[in-house]
Amino acid sequence: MSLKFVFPGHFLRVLLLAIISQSAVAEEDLWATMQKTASAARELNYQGLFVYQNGAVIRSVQITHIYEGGREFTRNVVLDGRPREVFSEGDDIVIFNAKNDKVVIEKRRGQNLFPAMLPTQLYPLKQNYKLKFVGQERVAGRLAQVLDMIPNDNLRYQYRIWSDTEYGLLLKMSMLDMQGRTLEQIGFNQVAMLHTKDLDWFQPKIDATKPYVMDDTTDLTHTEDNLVVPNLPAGYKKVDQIQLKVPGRTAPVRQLIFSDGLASVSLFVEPMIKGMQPRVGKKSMGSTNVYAHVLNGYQLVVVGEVPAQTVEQIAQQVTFKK
Amino acid sequence: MIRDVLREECWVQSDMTSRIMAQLADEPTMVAPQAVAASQKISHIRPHFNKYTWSIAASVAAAFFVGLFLINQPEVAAPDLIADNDTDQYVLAHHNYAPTSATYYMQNVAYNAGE
Repeated sequence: MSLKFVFPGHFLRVLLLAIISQSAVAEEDLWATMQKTASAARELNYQGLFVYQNGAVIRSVQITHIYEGGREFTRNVVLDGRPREVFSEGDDIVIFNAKNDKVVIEKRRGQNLFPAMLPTQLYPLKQNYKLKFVGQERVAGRLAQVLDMIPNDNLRYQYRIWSDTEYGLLLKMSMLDMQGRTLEQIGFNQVAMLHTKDLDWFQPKIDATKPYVMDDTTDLTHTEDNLVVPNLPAGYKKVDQIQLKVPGRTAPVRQLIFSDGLASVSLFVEPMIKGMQPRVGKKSMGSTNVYAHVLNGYQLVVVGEVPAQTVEQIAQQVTFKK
Repeated sequence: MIRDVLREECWVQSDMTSRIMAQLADEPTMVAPQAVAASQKISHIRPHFNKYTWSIAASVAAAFFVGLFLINQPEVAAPDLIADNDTDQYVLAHHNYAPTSATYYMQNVAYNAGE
């Protein structure tokens, strides 16, 4: 009797399936970590100091965040440069900006500020990025899981995030170019969880002796018009369209905002008036790319923290409906 | 003489050209290279430099000059047609209203520049 060693194809298929499903589970686990990170920044109570760095520019910011009664209250105090305080309550953001002899109050809405950089709905990110576990590192005295968000194409940058292993709070985030070089980085130097829900701190302390005035350039109008961008770069969607006053411009400027869930691009449309010098060309400033050209008597400028080809592609796709 | 010409200190004699032409005419005309004696042929170097060696040497030399040419090429940068301050207000507005922008915190720079 001879023993016949059989290595059936069935076994190989099962092994392959196991490997694939294991990798799928791992990827799902990483997305679960991301979801926890997206929520933690909004639902935890914390106070800390973070540093934002973009090229030679460095800003230190002190943050206090409280989640109370389903509402978020945040105060950011910019410690470097000119005094500036940013308050947010839910989606509403109010900025107190010291300018010469007054404090200018600006209003914003619906922005994701650090550490709440990740959107709560991760579906768009899943369409455009893959996650990879890098390892564990200490940031601001806390242990963090390091994850890479690797884009599926070259129309967006790569991100690296450091998520607190205990609370899921985003401790640090970097934007990397195609060669893996850091373009922009923001992260805590120190952070501590708060056990109080006192809101006494939620008021501006910036130059109380100076008059506070509203900034009229932040008077936004949400508009719809004949402008369309039919073939947006893969994964990008229009998220807003506003009309705003830009200092130094006589006519209002339209701004269309596109996003893939994390990266964002603005398209500015300004009517060319007599004597206005057309701007045509491109410019790169760290992570920010700009592309400008003129179409149908309008100056188009596309700006975004995305690769140059993304802003160029959007600019080239603009058409005016008749 | 060249140095003198550059310094404009050269005094060219008018009959110089004719004298040179006369000397050239006196030179014997060579229509074929002088034959080399068999003993002087370059056979003594053959053991070291065969036809493959010459090919390799030529390739290396070509690669060297191509490499040198490539290294010395000026960097081709993307056309940067927009003046530095032309788009500042747009960049600032983008940072102000983009849904996610960490650059939010560097607005002071733009405000300082704009004032």
